Amino acid sequence: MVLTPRRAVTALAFVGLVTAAPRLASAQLRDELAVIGAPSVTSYGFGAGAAKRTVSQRTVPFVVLLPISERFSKDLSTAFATSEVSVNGTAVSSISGLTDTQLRGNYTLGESLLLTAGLNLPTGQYLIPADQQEAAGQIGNDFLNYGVSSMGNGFALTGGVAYARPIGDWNLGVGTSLRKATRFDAFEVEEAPLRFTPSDEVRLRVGVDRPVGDGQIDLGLSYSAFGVDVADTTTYSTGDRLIATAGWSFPVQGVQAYLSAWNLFRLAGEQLGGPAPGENVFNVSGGASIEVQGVLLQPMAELRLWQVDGVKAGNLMHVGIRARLGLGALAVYPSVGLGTGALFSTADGTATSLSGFRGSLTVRWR
Amino acid sequence: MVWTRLLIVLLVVLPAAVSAQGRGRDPIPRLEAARERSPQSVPALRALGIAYYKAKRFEDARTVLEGARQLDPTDGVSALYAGLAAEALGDLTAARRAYTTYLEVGKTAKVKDDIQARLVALAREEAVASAKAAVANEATLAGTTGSPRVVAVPPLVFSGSDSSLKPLERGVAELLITDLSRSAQLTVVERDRMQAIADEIRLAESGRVEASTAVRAGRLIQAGTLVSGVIVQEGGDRLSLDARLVKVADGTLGAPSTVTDALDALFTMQKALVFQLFEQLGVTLTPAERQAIERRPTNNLDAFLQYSRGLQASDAGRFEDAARFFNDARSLDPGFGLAAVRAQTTQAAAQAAVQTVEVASVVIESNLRTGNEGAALTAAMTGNPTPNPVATTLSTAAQSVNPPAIAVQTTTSNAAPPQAPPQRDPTTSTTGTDVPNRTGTVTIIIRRP
Repeated sequence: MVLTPRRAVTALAFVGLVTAAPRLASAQLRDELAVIGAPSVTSYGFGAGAAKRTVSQRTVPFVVLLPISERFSKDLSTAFATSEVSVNGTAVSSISGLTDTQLRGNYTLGESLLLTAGLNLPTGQYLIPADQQEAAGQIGNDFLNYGVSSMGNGFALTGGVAYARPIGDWNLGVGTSLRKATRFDAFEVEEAPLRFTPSDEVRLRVGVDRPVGDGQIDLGLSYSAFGVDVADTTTYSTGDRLIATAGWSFPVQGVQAYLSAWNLFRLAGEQLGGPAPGENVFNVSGGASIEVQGVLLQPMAELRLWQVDGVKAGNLMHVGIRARLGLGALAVYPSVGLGTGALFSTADGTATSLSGFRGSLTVRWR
Repeated sequence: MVWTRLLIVLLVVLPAAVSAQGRGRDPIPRLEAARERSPQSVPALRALGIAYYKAKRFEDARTVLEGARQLDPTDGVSALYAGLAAEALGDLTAARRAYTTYLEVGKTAKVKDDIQARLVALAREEAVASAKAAVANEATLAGTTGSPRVVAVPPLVFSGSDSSLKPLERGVAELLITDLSRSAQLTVVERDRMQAIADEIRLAESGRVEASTAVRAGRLIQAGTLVSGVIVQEGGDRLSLDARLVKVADGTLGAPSTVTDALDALFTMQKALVFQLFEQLGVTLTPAERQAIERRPTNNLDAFLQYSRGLQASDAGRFEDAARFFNDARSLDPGFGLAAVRAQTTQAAAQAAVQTVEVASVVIESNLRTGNEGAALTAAMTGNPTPNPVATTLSTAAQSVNPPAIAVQTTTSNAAPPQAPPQRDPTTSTTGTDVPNRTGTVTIIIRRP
């Protein structure tokens, strides 16, 4: 990675943030200061036999939660990620390194208004050479939803506002934001950089929630409108996104349970090489938290369905379990999960088997 | 570049400046100031009371929380912490009343379960405390005589070769207490209170069991009449139940009531005996009372024997064993409701026996956080008596419009969070390189001007 002036400034910002933490140690909210590391592995295999392809990702995300005051909080996150595509066990493309660093801050005004800002610092991988591009691209798939979906998206700034108020037994929350990104060198093509300028993104969100007995129910709808992305001098628009979410958490027989669903609908657009058909990813999951001799066990099951241009494109069933162990100031969350499903050709419906594995060890300090 | 630097300076320096103005961690001064401003505010009093409790200032906590309860008798959390504070101060009666109020007006189901168990422990502690006080004041109490209509039934005495029947001492006494209590004309001393007094006398006597312990216990418990009973195994399967009334004031004995029959007819004998006792006590039963007394909690002798063993184990403080016996009894006769109740309360007693009020309060608070009432605890911890009711809604809305780039769970919630929807990666979306299972080399063709 070349140390450009922008990266140098970014690094300084990072140092500044980290050195701000000791000053927080004397503040009243130091109890809420937290540092989280979450090494994880995600791997999906497609097909079987000699043609079996595997796209796997190993990540070490790092998150610092910095509560500055009752009204102002910020968090910083980054990750080291290694992604690899292999065929029949032989790596054909891989990319490794630090991802971008995201810094977010929230400032609450009164009880109902919140200002939010985000900064995407370009500490990730840029000017990706040809032999790494496949691995860098595969992790961005919406259906498989890898923990790190991008190795670098350029310097970007997000500014937004959220508002909430009770209406009867319900709480209503609305929000909007604008994300502006700058141009960056995405790929190396024919020994020259391919410059990419992501479009502006405007997000709108409406959500409601309310307590139900000892539980909680929440519903939300987010709409992301994108402008045009510019790759070199060519413009593209890959389609706006609508995300609907619903969740219900509730105690039953001394066990805390939840049911949750989201649906991502992307409108049709265009991409390099032709039209980008619309797609829909539906995900439903359920789980519970059961305390067994001081250890919290959280089994879960998840079903995901994928359609492209209204045609079945994939399905995936996950089952997994997570535990929570308290070790003094550390909370440790080991988790494992297995997935199985299929991908379908949208042209002729041909199925390719899909199997996956997810494992992580989240460690939270304080 | 200039604006980038300016932004970085703002992001780094401003938070530090804000944090330098941060207040101290102790929420109590802030909550006291809030009370000064709003002395009639239940949230302010409740939060301050909880903060006092957590700082182990139990007397202050109780005073403030009782104030909150007077202003709003339906405030469950104030009642809950008033109970905890009273218990920490050793005022078991006040604790019991406050806990009972929480059961009526509280909203968190798990905490109600905890409180049910706590009440069982409190009942035992109260009985023991009352017994200690009675023994300590024996000289004073000896001069006062309880009403003849206040009746105590100590365990009967078993005499026979089959020691497996000995637990019937307590089982039959329990049945007599239950039946005598059906009459509105009598006040029957609870079994646990009677047992606590008897235990305390034995402790005071350094383990020596005095023959007149029962009469003495009756006097201490301010009973006017004692039922002194004997179970005699007359050889084989025949059993005799013998009971007579004892005037606690002077120890004079009434006429004996005796019934004899086969062991299998135990429940019939017990009913016959209790009706004789009512007659001797001069109690005329109403038809409804008689009908209630006629009902038998079980007809299964084996189940009743297990139940009696449970009572024996419970009196000896072996709660785990007792719970097992009661559960056995319930298994032998699923309709034996009394055994089910005893199993539940004994399990609670077993739990309470190894759980101090401090430990119990940790469990209760942990469960309180799972419900909406947990906001009261947050208010006390943060020093903000009126936490924002839409804080979570606001935070969720902000999270949705400014989402994290990396999917890592940052909350400490007890519920496992489901995986969040994916965020768009503009580069891969535009190039189409995110399609899975695409074989071959990805070729990016760019039209250069």
